[in-house]
Amino acid sequence: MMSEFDSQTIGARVLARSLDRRTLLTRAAALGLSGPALAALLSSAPAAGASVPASQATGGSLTFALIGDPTLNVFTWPNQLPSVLVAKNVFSTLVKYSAEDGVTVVPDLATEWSASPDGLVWTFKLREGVTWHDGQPFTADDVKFTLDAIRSENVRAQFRSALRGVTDVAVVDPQTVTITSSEPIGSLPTLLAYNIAIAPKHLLDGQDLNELTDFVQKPVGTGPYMVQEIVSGDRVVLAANPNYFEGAPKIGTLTYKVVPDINSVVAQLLTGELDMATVEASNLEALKQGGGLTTTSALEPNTFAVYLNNTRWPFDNPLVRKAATMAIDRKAIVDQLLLGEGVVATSSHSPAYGDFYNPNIQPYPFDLAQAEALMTEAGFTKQDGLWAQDGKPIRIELMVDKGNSTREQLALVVQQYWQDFGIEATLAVEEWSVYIERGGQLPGDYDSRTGWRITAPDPDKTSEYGTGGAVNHYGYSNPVADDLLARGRTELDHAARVAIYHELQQVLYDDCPIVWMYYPKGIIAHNARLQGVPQIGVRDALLYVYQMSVG
Amino acid sequence: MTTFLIRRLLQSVLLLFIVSVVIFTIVHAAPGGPAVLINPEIDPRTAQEFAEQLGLNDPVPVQYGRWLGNVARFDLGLSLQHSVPTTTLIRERFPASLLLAGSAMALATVVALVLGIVSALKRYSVWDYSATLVAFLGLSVPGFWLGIMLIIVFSVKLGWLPSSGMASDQGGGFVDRVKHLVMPAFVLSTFAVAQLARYTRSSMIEVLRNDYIRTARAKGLSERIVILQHALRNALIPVITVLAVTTPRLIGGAVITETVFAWPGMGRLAANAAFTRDYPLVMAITMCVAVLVITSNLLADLCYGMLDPRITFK
Repeated sequence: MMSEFDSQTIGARVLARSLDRRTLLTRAAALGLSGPALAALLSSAPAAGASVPASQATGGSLTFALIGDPTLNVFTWPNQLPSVLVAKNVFSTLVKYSAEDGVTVVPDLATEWSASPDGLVWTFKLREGVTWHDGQPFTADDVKFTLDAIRSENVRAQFRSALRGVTDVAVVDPQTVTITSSEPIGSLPTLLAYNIAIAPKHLLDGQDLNELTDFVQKPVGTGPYMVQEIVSGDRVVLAANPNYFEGAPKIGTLTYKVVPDINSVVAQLLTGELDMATVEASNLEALKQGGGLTTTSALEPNTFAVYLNNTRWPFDNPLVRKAATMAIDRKAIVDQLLLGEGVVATSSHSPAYGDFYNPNIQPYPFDLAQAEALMTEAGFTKQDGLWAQDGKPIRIELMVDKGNSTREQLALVVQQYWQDFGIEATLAVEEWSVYIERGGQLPGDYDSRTGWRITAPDPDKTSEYGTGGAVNHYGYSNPVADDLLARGRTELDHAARVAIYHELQQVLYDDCPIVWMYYPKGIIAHNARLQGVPQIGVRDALLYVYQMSVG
Repeated sequence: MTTFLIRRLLQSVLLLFIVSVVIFTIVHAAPGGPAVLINPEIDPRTAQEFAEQLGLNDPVPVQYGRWLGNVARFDLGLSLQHSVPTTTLIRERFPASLLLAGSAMALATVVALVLGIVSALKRYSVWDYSATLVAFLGLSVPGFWLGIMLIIVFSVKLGWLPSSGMASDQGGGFVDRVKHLVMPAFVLSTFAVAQLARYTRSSMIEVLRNDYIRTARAKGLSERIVILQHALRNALIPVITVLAVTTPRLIGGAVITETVFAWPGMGRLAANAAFTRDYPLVMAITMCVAVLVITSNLLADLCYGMLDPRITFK
């Protein structure tokens, strides 16, 4: 009784709806290339790299696209994504994620690390002979300075939550640092690898770290590339660091180019003005026409979901939540909307969490009969095509953020599946800031809404599924899950942690707090001449530019 | 003259104050909050601490008072989105906008004057109709569409001009920069060409009817001197008004052209600031543009006196 999936049905649904979207597109066109114009542009594109006058990458250079303007303040992380993407090559972290799986923690500035038997003190041994881009030596003082700044109340550090619970950072000797916490933090190395970039004390000590006006013009790090030029709103040019501790990079110049939107990214990949960029599944077809381009995709710790408000009728009932999940053909959505660049989600953890992912759980099937049985069991009856309880039919709102066509289409498809099943959802397409303001409260001001969450590959999900968790806006609460989360957080033994998180995924699966839609893959498109692009998420793939070469 | 200037200066300060109150109220009334605080990757508790620290939870009048106090000390605040001073950002972006708007307006003025004068002199001729057609095309063709068409033809098909940015990745010389400038400046100038050409035409026609033109001709002056020195000078007054209003607006608001061509100017900065609810940056850019508009209007008023000696300042 599995999926009665018919690709034409869903394809037609998406198409029929996309016609309604024409008016939207027309307006969107004012801020970039329009859909039809882009198609015209693409079909007339010459072979990649042909006769383009400017910014052609030759031999030793790589041009990567940024949508948004980076500012390299590694404490406040302004304009987070573009800034992180550049910082990956300018700064180093204590440890980083491996190029093989994007999860395993491997040495960066620290060569070895271990926890004390009680788990309260982590000791990191630092690499010797590392120098900052200005020639000054890197020492344990820099690490203490950076971590203390991130913990400080006076600094608006974006990733402060990574160090919550840390009570002290101490320099033992120039090559050794200890981090003490009030209770064991099993994931500390994993958290430190996630954007905790180490900054130079000798340049920043005593400054207001919220406002590094001079430093962000000419940042100094220990990474494989040094900042050569920053032109606000236009580009960041980096030059290979000949003294990089893992050996000088093969590619001499790394340029980050600011591009207004994803359509321009696609066009410039085709003309050869860009060598590498992240793209969306909907761009793959256009990119194939260019030739000379390769794409790689990989799962990241990212889950796309339709959040159901557990504190409101009707989704306060787990049976209704399960039925709402089974009424949606998620396999078809992944195939049609993501063109296969994703995996139907099972529970709270995706396979990108490595061992912590529980491979024994099967995703809820698309099964209307079973979903109907669940509704009946929950005490609902069908009236005029809608499920109703005590004479009250299910009429709810489904909120989605405005402007991203994939997400808007997804909301339309979900609405349609629910309509067919007997749940009437009204779409509320909200501007981003409104969407977050309503959607992020505890509990959220919505019946159901789309959303996603990208995190470090840290299996701790207290903020998402713990009672009162910081992003648990759907108001899920189960003491069994709370207990597992608390145990997982403080456990240091890997095998024991794996067992705890496997059990947690089963508990959450049974409660089905939200509709886990899919785990989307991050897609990187790049010039086929570029060798050595690792098969991991883009942020961490960019850590390994120093190993890439242009063939 | 001096009293005129002093009076205008005082008026300007009052005007700026009113503009700031209106804009401050509007940006804070817009739904949602600053994007830095609603990043889905930031821990909401951390975000709450930031909001408290930045004073974003205070009532709007309190926030306005704080802002005004800082402005009085020449401090336009820190951008929420970029965490650098707003003045630094504007200083970085301003030259790019000035270059683009300046080139576009220079181009527009030259083209529009030629079209306008020709239309006025050869009224209802083929020339006039052609110039009118060009003007209406310029008015009605949307900038983003024209921009895309130019990119398709000159960047993708012919490969003559780069599609985006201000210079090549490695910087590039004068020729490289001119190549980057051509298309955006052209697109930005089309609207202004159309508008200016129409104004020049009608004001030229009006001036040519005046007695002093007849006198000049009767004196036996050559037609060239009559047109360019006697008629055009007076016909320029409405044209300068249009220029004075349009140019500063283009510097701060060429959003569409700057976006299509990824030009690193103030227009894109302003649009992003609005989308991300970067209150200090929105305020700083608005105030800068307001100062520009007021200044250029004042300059235009002074120009009138030079163009037409009958105009005096009281």
